[in-house]
Amino acid sequence: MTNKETVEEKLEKLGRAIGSDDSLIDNLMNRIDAEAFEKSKSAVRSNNKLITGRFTMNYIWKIAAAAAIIAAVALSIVVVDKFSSQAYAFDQTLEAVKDVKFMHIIRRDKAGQIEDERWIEVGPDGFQVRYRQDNPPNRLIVEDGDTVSVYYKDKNTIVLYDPKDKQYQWIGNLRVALNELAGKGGMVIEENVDYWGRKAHRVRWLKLSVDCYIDPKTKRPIAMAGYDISYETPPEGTFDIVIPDGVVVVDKRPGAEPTEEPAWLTEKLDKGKIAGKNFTNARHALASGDYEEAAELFAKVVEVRGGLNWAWFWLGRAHYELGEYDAAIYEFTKVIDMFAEDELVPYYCHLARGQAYAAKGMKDMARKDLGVALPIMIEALRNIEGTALFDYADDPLYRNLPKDKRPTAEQSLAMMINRLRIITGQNFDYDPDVSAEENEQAIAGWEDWFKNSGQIKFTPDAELVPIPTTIEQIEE
Amino acid sequence: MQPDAELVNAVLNGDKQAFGVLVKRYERPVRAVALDVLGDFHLATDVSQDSFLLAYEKLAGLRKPTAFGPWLMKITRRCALDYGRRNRDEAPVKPVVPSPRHNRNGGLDEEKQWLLSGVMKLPESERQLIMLRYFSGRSVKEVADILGRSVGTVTKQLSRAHRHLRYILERSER
Repeated sequence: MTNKETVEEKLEKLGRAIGSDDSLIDNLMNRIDAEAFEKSKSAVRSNNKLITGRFTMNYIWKIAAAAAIIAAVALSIVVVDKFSSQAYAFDQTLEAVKDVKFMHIIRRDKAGQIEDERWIEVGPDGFQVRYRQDNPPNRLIVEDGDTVSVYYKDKNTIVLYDPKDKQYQWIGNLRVALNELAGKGGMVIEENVDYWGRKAHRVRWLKLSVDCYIDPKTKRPIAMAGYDISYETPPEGTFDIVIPDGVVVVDKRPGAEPTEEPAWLTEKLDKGKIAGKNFTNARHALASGDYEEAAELFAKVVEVRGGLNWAWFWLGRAHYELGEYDAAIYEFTKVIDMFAEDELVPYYCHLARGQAYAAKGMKDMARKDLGVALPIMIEALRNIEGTALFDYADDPLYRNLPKDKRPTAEQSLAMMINRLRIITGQNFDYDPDVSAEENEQAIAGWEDWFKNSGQIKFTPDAELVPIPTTIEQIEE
Repeated sequence: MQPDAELVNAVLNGDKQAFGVLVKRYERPVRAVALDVLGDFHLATDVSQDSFLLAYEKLAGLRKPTAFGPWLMKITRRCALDYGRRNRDEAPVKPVVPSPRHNRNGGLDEEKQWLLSGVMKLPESERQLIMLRYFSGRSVKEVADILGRSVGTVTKQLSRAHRHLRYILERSER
């Protein structure tokens, strides 16, 4: 604040600094629903003021189904014994979000300023209908249902796309997310924790290594993956594409009249295309064991798309396989730091970095990293669907696999047992070919070991259990 | 832009969404009052919610619907003071060393806190004007509509409030 500022300017700045609580109305209306309405009703009546008509259903209860994401979390929860609670049940969250129609998602930087704000309208079928993403100061994306517009404010240019050619989303397709995650792993970590001054149930969505916070009163998620979530109706015009006077419009929709594309845009799009191609080729190279090729291609990808965490991770994996542990550690650290910005923990990456430290002989550092991953890995023995990200990390082609070709629960469990054998040196006679009941003793053995000792011992030459093959795979 | 009084009557007649409009309108002023007392954004957020809830419960007891704003500010101040007293051992009221900047962990920076304290020293009617105009970001016309006054009156009152605030700030600087 400078002395040259007028008192009015200072007040405006103060107003902005005071800020607002995006979920205030939602929370308040639900508290009113629960507590105050009955009291006020009697108070109003005693004041001889008739309450006319019925209270319409709170608009926030009408808002629909970005539910997909939330329900995905809710459905995916399995309460692990030591964290279990009678008070909160996930079906409450499912019920609370089933009619959600709008989501308002905000991410702030460390100074509290909004760096990413999104509105999503979700149709009754769970699909995204309209979308707005504002990344101040330079980028604004709006999808109005027919067209996607990307406004590069610093370049004074708007690019229009057909949604079939380009679509922006939050955590992928909502309905697919719901379907994929239904019934799969997550767990309540703690109830009534403090989330930025608000009480919330902390729930871990294991598959994505994401913590989600549920409002104990509304039962709705209020935060996930570093984003705050609320459910109010957006202001009118939120999903309208507005083209300001004097802005260059590049229309890339089918049938549009050809427009001259600025050189910077061509370069940007070309770079993106090349990076996409390199990423695909690099994943195939890594999967086929051509680590040098993979490292070279992944390095090119991160040059252009420095925020692509999987490119960094698999670059680290390629360097690890080449014995270039320092480079691998650097790249795994990059991924861990990216997630740390959102207070997330990529457990699979701690496992990978721990192994790189161990291979380099840095035992303390290795223990530290492996110790981060170990509890999740042990919990996965009873909740394996929740840790698919470990499988994803181990197989760069996982994302190409159709759903029915992805590892089965038995296969994932065997792979997790092998990871545990390597980092602990323990063996509790798990046999993938016998029934789950028969393996109960082995799993209980791991749990007891973890509870009583949990000593890390990097054993790269540990004997591994065979990964069971499905009948379909044998037939193929 | 509906005046406060109309919205208050609508709420009393069962229109809960009208209360949502009042909440949106006064969210920042309420937060500012709580922040001034407690010096902490997180606590101010909690207290804001409690204050609105209490206001909703007590709304039938508000004799002059036109006085909703100042009445709500009084409720908020009382809630914040109560909160500070109840949590004296846990939650510091007005930190001795102000947070270096506005972030989600603490309070306002020193200069903004000083300015906010100045606003709080204004007479009730001027304070409400300033808060609606600058904290809620309302235009003069909107403020006039909210308070059921003419634009000319609000312009003059705002001008006086600015002068008054400058005077308060100069004195507190010394």
